Amino acid sequence: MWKVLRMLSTMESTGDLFHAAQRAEAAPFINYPRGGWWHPPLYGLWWGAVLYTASWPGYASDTRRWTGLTVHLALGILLLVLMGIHVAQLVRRRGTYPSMRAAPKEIKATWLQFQVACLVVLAAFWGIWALAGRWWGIGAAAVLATAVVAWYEHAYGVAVQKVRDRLS
Amino acid sequence: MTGTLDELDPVIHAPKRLAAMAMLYASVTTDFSFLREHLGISESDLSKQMSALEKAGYVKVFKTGRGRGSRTTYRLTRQGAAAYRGHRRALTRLLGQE
Repeated sequence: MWKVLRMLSTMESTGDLFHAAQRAEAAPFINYPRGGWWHPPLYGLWWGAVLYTASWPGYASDTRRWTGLTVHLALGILLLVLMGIHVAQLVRRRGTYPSMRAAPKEIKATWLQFQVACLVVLAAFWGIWALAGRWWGIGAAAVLATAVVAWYEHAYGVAVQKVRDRLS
Repeated sequence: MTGTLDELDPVIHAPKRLAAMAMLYASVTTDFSFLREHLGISESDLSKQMSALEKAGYVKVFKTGRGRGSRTTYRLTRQGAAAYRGHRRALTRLLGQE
């Protein structure tokens, strides 16, 4: 457990207070529930399903178009609701929902790399869709998203260790 | 030096409240258990500290559920976030002067 006020009895100088504030700011990022092996593939599937829904090309006939639109819209909403429930459960288990505004620099750097990687997944999806077809694009994006989430979970752990070392 | 000292917020300056404010500043929302575990203080002490912050208008309290499943979460108000930023700036300046 990352104790924020472990030096409370000797906390007398401004430096001690500032150090305690920095440790406290890092606390929401340090203790986090680790996901199982299934976590990255599940995210990959979710991404694939979202891209499948978002890239629905429509049907030629009016009746099928409206049915298809309703089904895809419902699927999109269902995917968002599922992600909402997942995030709410994570927040409840963790006891906090970290905000990037005061994230330690090591965590911020990893988060930025993750966002860039997500953009690369999207770009790969569009590119492969255009070159090889929609299903290839969705499949490639799902595999890439799985790899990106697996990498991020590892990189996040490394960043957390760096923060622990810096603020210990 | 006096100017910088004046910028220190007496409500936040106490170490326990400063640490609680820092955790809330770094999160969208944080619950009572998380704060208590990380501060390493008793429930009654934490309740007292959080009441002081709530009274100052720095935090908002949300209670859900009843009995054993109940949960208390805190969120920093805009006023609280500004106060924490100002206090942190003053601490940084003081550190530079030490």
